[in-house]
Amino acid sequence: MLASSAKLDARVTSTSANGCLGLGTQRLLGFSLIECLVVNALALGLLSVLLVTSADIISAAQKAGDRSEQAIRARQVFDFLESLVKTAQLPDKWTTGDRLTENETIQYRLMDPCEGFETGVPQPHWGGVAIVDLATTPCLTSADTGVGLYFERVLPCPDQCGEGAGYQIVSTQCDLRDGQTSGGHQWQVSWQQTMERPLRCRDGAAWGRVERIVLSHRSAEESIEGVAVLRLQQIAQGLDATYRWSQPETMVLGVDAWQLSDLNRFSVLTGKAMRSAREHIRAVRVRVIIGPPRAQTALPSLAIERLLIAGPLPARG
Amino acid sequence: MWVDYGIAASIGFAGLLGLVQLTGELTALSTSAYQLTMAGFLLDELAALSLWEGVSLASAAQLCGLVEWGTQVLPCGMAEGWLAVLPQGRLSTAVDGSVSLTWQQMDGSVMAIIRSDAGE
Repeated sequence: MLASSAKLDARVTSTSANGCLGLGTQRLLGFSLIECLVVNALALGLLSVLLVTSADIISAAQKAGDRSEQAIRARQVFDFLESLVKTAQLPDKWTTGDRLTENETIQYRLMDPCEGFETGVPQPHWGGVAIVDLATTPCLTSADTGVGLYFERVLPCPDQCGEGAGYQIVSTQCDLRDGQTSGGHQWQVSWQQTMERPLRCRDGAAWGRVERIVLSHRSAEESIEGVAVLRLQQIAQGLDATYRWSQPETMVLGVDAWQLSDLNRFSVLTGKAMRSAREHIRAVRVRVIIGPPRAQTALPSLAIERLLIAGPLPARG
Repeated sequence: MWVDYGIAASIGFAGLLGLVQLTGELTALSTSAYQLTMAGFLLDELAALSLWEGVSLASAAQLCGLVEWGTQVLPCGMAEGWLAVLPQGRLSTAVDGSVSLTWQQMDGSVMAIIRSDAGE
């Protein structure tokens, strides 16, 4: 009994001697308390360095990613604006050979988004861009204030206009052959059930769809999303011939502010009005401020200001 | 125990190096996207100005004071700021009237975008 107890004690002593706190009486094995503390401190130090460095690196990567996201979002906004601007006129191939007269240039006036097409008479030009005061535009939603960017677009059919009902634009001389037309073309807009070529028009005649779009801004306090948004509103097409605007839709989140300034049609270089082929070019300066995607990164807002060149604006009236 | 510590430290540092490598590449990718976007803004703005003023793209760059020997005459918006955010960003004009925008990327390579009056 005593012999087996001594054997057990020896085993226990030997086992505990492998740990840091081993108190072997016969032979000191393992590490001292100081060594253990040093190793623990080193391990903790290493862990701290790893954590701090990792956090720094991840934070830097997040910041670069967020900054890139801001820029790409701004790019997408301006790409969309440019795509609208490009179509805010009659397609070039429709107007080849047509030149605006001096009288048409002088008679230029802004399009009225509240004026339907029913009252319109044939015009030599359609499409354009304008800055509208939302507070004084009753046909648009009254919840928005400030200014909006208003586009009248012309989408050539059948490639770009879709099939549904809507406002169709067609030349008043679409039934005549090229040699039979007199003077410049006049274009008329009317509501149609489909966007197929009008029966009275000859093969090869141009026709298209007219769209009207207003982009507006809503601040974070006013928006239901809780962040500032850019909104899109367009005329309702497809239900019936009643001219009305649809409800605004949220287009881009996180646009903290936007400013629009209408440039006059005078060249900075010459001080003269733009003439010849560019006489109806119109420019709008758009400044968009994109907020940081995440509040945690504490990134400043990104402001981008671009000059958008619109096509010829129509001489109405 | 020292061996154990050495192994743990090696694994830790290897992991850290991997993390540094990965996040470095992510940061470089994000930075490249940012710089490309800014470069696109700059060239688009010059194209719009040249159309608006009825001058060539190269002349617009000169009139904005963005190329060597150029003097700023036109209000060019944020074009100068966009050029400034590109590391060693430089705009130059070629004999054929095209405009070349170059800048240095994070890995030291040089990125160049050339645009002519006809488009990109």
